Amino acid sequence: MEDEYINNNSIVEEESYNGDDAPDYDPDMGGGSFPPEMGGVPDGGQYSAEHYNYLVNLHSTEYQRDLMKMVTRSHLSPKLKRALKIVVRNFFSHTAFLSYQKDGDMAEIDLAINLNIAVASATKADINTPEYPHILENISSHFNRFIITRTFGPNRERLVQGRQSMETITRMADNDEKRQKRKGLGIWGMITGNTGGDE
Amino acid sequence: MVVDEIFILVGVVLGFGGWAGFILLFTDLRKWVPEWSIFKYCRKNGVPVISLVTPGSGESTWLAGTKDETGDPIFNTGNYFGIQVDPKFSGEIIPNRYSRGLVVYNFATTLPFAIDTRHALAIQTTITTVRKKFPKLGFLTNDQLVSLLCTDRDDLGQYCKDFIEAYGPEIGRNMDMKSDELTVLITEAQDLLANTAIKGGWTSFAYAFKNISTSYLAQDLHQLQMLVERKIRKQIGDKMSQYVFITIAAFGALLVMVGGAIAYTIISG
Repeated sequence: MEDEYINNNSIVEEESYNGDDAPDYDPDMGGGSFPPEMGGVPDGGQYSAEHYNYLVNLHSTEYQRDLMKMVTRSHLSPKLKRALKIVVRNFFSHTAFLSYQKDGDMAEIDLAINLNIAVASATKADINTPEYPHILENISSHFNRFIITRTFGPNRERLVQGRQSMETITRMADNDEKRQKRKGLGIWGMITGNTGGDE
Repeated sequence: MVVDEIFILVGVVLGFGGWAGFILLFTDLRKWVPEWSIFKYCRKNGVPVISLVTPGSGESTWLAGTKDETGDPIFNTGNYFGIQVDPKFSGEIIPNRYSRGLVVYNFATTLPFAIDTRHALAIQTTITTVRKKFPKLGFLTNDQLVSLLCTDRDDLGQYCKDFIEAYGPEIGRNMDMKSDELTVLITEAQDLLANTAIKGGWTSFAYAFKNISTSYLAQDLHQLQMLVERKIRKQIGDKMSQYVFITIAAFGALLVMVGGAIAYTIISG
């Protein structure tokens, strides 16, 4: 059984369950062969800057691997498998996680449209399998409930990256500096004995 | 005069009789030919008739193929949920043609696209031929059989493997079939069907629609339409709220300017 690792998400795909003759994910067809400067994931899935690796780990979901496995191992038709994999790769990509979803409803509608189009690849034998509604429900619930909630809202970048506290400290330092400037020569402080350093 | 009274009586009786006959005919027509108004409307206005069949029960309904606007790609079937695409847009469909220009398209409650008699006969021929020539495939349901027959050759091996894996124990009770054997049988069936002429005779549109491989429903297309509409409406709504804000701000500024000008005029005057 040959395992295939995809990027740094470690998406393990088992060839024996693969619906395609071609591998499920070809780095040459994705962003794998592009340098990070061009927006691609570097070969081997590791960015040179630790910051990006941190971001990618932070924004990834381990469930993408499970979903891909679930689709690959299912007894759905190869066409539907391909369509579902396209949806999963698109909506569970790093770009999707790193994007700022201004409007949660719109993101949900986009996923619903994509899943609706993917259904066009399903046969009647597919929809009669118990796996079909299960996979579709898992894709939509994970995206709508767990990802959107993380990528929605004006402060989500700062909150997720832990920058809120850093910015607060920087802002406090800036405010101190401004306050010092406002004090001018500090004559009043000299008179009252208040140097302003411990405010 | 006596004669005049008889004439009036006869006239009244004939009048009542005529009305009674008309009412009887009308109620009969309404009860036993409820589609008369649809056929009348369609013949008069050159609109196609939609024969909408429910694949499960085989029950059919006649509907007028009207549209909201000329050039719409879909028919407006009123309260019937789902979408029926005008065959002029979806592909070459030969309708059933009746006298005085009546055209009938065959739709199903499940599929957004129409099919014609050739398609129904082709589906029937496909299933009957495979069932007759390949009894070993008897363990497959019609849905599964048609799905496998519609699978590309490149994907067939893997799909057959999945089938045997999924239904293997079930099949094992009847026969011992390996996935390779299933692949070979389906390939042979595909080759045979490619050289089989469509058989004529009686057919059923309900049966044909039921055995079409795709599961994409008229309701799915309707849902897609609603999703796209919802998206556009939301985008327009966001834009509109911005415009409303700008308009109110501009109006407020105008009021301040006008008020200032009036105040200045009063004070200076």
